[in-house]
Amino acid sequence: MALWVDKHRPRELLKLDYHKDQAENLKNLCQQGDFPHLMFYGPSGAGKKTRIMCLLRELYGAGVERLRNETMTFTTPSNRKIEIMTVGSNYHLEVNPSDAGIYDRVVVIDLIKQVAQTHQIDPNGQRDFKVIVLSEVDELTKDAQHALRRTMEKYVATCRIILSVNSTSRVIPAIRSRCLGIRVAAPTPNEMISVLQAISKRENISLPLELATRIIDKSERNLRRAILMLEACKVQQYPFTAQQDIVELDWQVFLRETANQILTEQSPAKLEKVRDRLYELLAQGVPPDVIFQGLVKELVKNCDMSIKAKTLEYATLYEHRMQNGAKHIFHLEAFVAQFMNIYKKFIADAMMMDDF
Amino acid sequence: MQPTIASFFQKASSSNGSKPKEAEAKEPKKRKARVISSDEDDEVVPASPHVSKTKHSKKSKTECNGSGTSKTSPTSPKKLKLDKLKSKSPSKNPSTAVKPVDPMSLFGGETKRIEAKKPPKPKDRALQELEDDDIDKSLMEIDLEESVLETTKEKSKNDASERPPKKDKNKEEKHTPDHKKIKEEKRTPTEVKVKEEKTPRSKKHSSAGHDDEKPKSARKSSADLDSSILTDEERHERKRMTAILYQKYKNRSSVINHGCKEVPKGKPNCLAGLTFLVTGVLESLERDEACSIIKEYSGKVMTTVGKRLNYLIAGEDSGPKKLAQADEFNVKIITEDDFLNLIREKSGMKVENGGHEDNEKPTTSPKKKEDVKIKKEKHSTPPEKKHKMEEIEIKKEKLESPPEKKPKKEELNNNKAETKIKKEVQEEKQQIKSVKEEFPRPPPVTEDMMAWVDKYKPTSVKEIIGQQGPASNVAKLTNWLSKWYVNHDGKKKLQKPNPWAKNDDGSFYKAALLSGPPGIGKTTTATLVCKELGFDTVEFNASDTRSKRLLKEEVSELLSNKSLYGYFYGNAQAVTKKHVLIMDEVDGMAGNEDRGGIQELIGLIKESSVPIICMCNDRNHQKMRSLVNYCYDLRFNRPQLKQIKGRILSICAKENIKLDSTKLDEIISATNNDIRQSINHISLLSAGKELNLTSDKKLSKEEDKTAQKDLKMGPWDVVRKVFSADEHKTMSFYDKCDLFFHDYSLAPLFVQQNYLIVSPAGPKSEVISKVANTADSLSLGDLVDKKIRSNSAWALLPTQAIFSSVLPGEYMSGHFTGQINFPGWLGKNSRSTKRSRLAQEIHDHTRVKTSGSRLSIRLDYAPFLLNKIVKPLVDKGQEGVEESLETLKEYHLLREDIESLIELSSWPGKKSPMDAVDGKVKAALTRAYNKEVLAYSYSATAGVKKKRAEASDDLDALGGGMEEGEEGTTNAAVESEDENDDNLENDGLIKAKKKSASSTKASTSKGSAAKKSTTTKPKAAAKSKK
Repeated sequence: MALWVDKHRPRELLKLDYHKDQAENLKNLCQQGDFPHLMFYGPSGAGKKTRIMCLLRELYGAGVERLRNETMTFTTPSNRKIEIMTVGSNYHLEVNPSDAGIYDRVVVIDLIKQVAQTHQIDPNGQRDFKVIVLSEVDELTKDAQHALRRTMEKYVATCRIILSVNSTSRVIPAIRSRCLGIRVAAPTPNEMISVLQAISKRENISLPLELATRIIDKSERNLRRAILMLEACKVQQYPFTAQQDIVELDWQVFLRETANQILTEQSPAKLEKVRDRLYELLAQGVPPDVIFQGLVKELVKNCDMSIKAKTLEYATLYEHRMQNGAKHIFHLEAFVAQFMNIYKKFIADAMMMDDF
Repeated sequence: MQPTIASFFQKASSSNGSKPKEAEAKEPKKRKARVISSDEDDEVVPASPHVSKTKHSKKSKTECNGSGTSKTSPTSPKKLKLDKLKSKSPSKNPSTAVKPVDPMSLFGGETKRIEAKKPPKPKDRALQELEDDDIDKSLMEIDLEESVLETTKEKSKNDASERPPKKDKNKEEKHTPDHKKIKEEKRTPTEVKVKEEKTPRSKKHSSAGHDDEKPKSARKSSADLDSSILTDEERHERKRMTAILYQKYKNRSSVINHGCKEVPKGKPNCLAGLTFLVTGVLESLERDEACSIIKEYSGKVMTTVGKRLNYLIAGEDSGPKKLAQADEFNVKIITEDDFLNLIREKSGMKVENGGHEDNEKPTTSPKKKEDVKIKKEKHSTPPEKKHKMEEIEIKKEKLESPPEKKPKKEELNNNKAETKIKKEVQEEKQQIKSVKEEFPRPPPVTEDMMAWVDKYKPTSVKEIIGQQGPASNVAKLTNWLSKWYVNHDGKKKLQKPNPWAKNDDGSFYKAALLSGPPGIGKTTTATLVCKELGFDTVEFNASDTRSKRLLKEEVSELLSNKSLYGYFYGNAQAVTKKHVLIMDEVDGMAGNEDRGGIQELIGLIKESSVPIICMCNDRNHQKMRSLVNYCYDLRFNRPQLKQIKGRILSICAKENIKLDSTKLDEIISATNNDIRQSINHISLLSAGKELNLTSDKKLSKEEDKTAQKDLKMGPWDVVRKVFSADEHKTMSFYDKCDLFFHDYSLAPLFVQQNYLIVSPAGPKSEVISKVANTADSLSLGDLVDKKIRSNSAWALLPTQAIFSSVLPGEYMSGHFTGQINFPGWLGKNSRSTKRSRLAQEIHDHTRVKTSGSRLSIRLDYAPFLLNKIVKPLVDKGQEGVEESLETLKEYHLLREDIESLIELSSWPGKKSPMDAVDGKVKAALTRAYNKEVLAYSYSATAGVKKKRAEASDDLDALGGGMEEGEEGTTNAAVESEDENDDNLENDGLIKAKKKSASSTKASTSKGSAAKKSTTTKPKAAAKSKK
């Protein structure tokens, strides 16, 4: 029994719930017979992968959905073995090279080249090219990205590469220019409501509009999260009430609490406790930029305007340093320390003003 | 024996004829001693006459420039003569052979004796033969005159009754000969000398205005000519002489008083540019030793006498040819003593005024004196008859004085009055005296060569610093070792002691592990304890290869050996069975050579029939981990400063060094209470004192400083110093920077971890801004760190030092309010990497079904997925198993993935959802899973991983048995599936799969598995269609 989010995923381009114009375009692209490399970009939970799968199905038919897992082993120049899990059908191969960490370049060079070099054996197939789907390309190191660009050019006759990217800013321009970019924007709240309601209908449950709105609010326009939350709500309490609790994600709660703690006390001891919490968040795999974002959002909420500007300034400064640095905690901590400093000064000044 | 004779003669000569009676009184004693030696020689000579003869003949042939070959039967006459000589007197002479009639008949044994001195001379003579017969003749005449003069002189000096006849004999001999050659050979050594000296003069006679150098060359050429001129008899004679020389060479003693003289410690290179040649047997040094000493001081050792030779170091039995050549080339001939003095002189040391000096005074020059000595020695060695001894003595005495005078005589043109000569001699003597006084002899100390550390090494257990008392390691080790054979005779069954038990005597262990910092006496303790208990030790240290093979073969062999030490040292219990194997520096077992050494050592310990003592510095080292369990743990701690101080003060007293007490304290603490290093430092200081008294204090101060700097601080100390305001007062900027470099990878982490517990000096209100500044600086330091590591820009390290250590230290300068902690980053980082690995696994497994990236799986899916699985179990118990299993199957999850999901969605203070599930339900789920869920391509690897990780979960414990059995079949299935599918799949994939499959212990029958696989395949296909 699959989760709703997987159960009700559209499988054909024409059955997509939103960005229908785009879906139409994609369909036409496929019917043309040939297309350039594609780069789907957009935030998480907007439906990139769904669209890619629909596109593949459009290209090759239902055979694409006969997926299988494969483990591939590579040897790095330093004689280290890396295993990479791939998912593929007879027509395509889906890889996440960033799984290999700093050795992603090896994966790009070895695997992708190898697959791209071989021609399709069966000429009776629908297409004379294969498709390689690379997910999380923006997580690739610069080296790997550079290794990719030549491959993309050279083997365009035998394969198409479809990239799935969250933010194009982290993809080198050379790759960006080699691809046809397809932006998959996050669905609007209205689109999301319609999706949620469609799912409820299929599941034979009734979803109050207010609850749907609240869920969408919480989900930050992440459709996947919204559907997951909806299901969680259903598990927790059904029939729905408009004001029922929405299961929140633990890390979001934790992050919010952390921000609140910073606001309650500004001292080295507190900073140490905050550091522990930040460690915990990092250990849970919450990306540090998300932590920055969450902290700033919470901290700025109840601040004076003068501090808000400064907080944002520091946040950007340290976030930038963090991107260039090695140990995230150093910069997160520095940001928190700076915020504590200015916040405390502000409070002290305010007290002085009050005294007068 | 030799030195005594020498000293006797020296003394006699010192009296220089003024006290002849004294000299005579001493003679008898000497004679006695001589008798013994001659007897010994007597025995030796006949032992191998034939062998030596043949050799001699060869030698003589070569030396005679091939002229000897003309002799048809050179051996037979020799033999006869030798036999004759043997029967008559062991000391035979070539001259006797040459003219057997006149000397023998005329003077009996005396001639023999005279000739005994000669052997070396004839050769010299041969070389110095003059080409011109006329010159020779004139020379002879002069010689004769001189010899007469000399003898008269001698006579006047020595009133011994026996002498006059002897002199006469000599004269007569000289007068009678038919050949000049023979005449010359008959002459006493003194005359030979005279001759040598005179040759230039004689030249002057014949051809005035010759340079000094000309005669030399003339002489050389004469030598060649001479050889051809020689008559058969002469050749014969020469052969005999060389034979005798060779005999002597063969029988010559080794160094008489080895090590009796102190070898001075000269300055390095003090003999630079000088060349030496060692000949004969020196008094206290082996020839090799002498050579090595010369080389040590960068002198050059030559093998032949040449123009470039500066000094010929002549000892007893020195080669006469060499001496002659040395004379020819004006090479200084020196004795061993002179040589040692030379070293002192050259290295600026004072030559000591020893008893030797007196002996040397009378000689005009070292060269002369040496000649005399050599001659004396030559006299002493050949076997002689007792009754002739006396005469020899007298002869020698006579010989001593003449050489001094002769050169003078030359100057004075032969006709000068004796008085004048004497005066001159005396003048020269005084000069020499003054020279001698400048270079006094050093005291005879051989220990000086040893390092103090070895010199003052404890010789008994009681002397070991800081190891007194019943609870000391020495006592423990002694106790353990002494009881070892009782404890390990195979009868007792010993219990492994509780590691926390206090008064463990280690009886369980077959090995002891001594651990502690260097320089505090671990090795000393071990060896001394063994010595004290009478154990024989076999030691292996880091300088030996200690690989598995070596340990296995050689050590175990050694341990089964028996020591013969007792045999040789006459102990009653001839063969001892008590061995100890000492494995020193076991933590040094590393690299390719010692691979597997520790494991083998452990094996050795288990099987050993002898006690083993291991030593290491760091017992907590990774490599030591396994060894520690098999060893009686004895930890050595650094001794107290006072204990070391006491010992060092006593050393200082022995070495006559005055050292400031506080200075000593500084030195000891600077070396971190390392006894060995402290002594080394003191040794160095004392050396400095000898060289330069004034700079002593400065030197020691600097010494301390460098010693202190060399100490490596742990990160805890470093971080304390970084923030401590007190330390900052005395530290320079560079010192602060240096703190960072003690461990530049850990230092920034330590600073970051601990800066928040520092309470900085200054007003409280500013604390938070200081903290903010510090955090900012640390953040910059991290940027630098990244640049360093990613671009290998190590030049930036000092920059990082500023940002990561110096600036935080400046901002937060104060004191610590809490305990310094180990950086949490390392642990936290490894935890986050572990979790991200788990997340990736789940992502991989669920990828077929889900669409999200790894991140979204982790942040969004994980909790909901887990809830979906666990909820039915919590709500419905056993009935919910079916539902949970459905979800697992749907998402292609493994049973283990549930645990991963739990870990991924766990937060501090949040309960694990699985806690609410009954154990039975969990077991049911596992069982159901194993029954129904088919293998995925990754399940094999996952299974292995899990096993390796030793899943501690109770779930696994419950379902463990079933899982094991089931896994085997599934793995086999996977394998066979591979075989069927390999034409469909990629090469890389097959490889990976096979590897994973074969790595598991799939042992169940393949046949059934293969059948199974045919059924599984369609199923899998069907599933993916779904």
